[in-house]
Amino acid sequence: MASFYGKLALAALAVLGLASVLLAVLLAPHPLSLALEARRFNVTLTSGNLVIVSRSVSISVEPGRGVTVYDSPLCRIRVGMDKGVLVVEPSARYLFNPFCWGMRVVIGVPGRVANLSLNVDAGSVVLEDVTVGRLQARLVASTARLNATITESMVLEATASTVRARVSAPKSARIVVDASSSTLSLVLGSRGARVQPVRVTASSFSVRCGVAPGPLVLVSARASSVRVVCEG
Amino acid sequence: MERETREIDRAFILVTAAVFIGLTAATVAAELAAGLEGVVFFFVAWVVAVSVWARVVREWLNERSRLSSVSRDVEAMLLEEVRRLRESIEALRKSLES
Repeated sequence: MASFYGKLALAALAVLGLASVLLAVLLAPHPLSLALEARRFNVTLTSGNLVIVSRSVSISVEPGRGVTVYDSPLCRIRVGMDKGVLVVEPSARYLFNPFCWGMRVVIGVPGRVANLSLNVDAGSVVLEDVTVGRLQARLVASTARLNATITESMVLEATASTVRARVSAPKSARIVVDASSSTLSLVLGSRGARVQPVRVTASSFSVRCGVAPGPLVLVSARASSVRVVCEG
Repeated sequence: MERETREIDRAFILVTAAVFIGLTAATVAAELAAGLEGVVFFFVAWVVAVSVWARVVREWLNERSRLSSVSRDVEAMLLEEVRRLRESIEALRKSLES
């Protein structure tokens, strides 16, 4: 009889324990704080409107007017302004919900070439494309980190774990792609006025980026190792 | 034995009620907090709960049948004792009469 009571208690503990864990994951704002902290995506918008559109999420941002969020009942993305920085943060539910995997969130500036794409897939956020007009973007994800500030030239480095961009007075760009990397997308332009999409498949590639004023460089972070140097 | 059977019945019913009421409350909380996806999330918990409880119910029925068989054995033993006692009394009565 004691064995029966033991089994009953064990079963009750197992079921209620599982329910508690699931509830904690669902309700806690940061149930996996380290993992979620590494999946924040910040965009600073200095001019123009920012629109985020996806299959089920539509977010419209106007500087000084706050953020409008439309979301589906299944896939939700937390969006907020923090000291002038737009914070787009897929919720834990979003990351853990298989219905949302593969969903694409596109952040673009209307009337501009700027286009930023965020793909939430199987619990990780992957930065796909970055267009940098007057847009400062930073992605800290489990697989990639991008920190791009457009001034006049750019040094951009990307590895599987790190993507960094720095800009200072470019005349031309030298792009080195790791032999094992996939196709690299590159766009050069001037404040969105001129766009020059380039598909880079070779292991090494050179391109001019001295389009004055304010050249733009867009690089996919998909490659396992990418290095772009704009030399002044 | 009957008291013990009642005890395990009561424990089983109470624990079952507590577990499933708790699980239902957690599912409702998840639904309120996260919408439909919360329910989808808790589908896993319900599948686990039902499969675990199927085993617990089997254990409960086994335990009940074990207790009832023990009870039957005790009853048979007591009946046998009573029969032997009657025989002894009868033998004693006959010896007193003769």
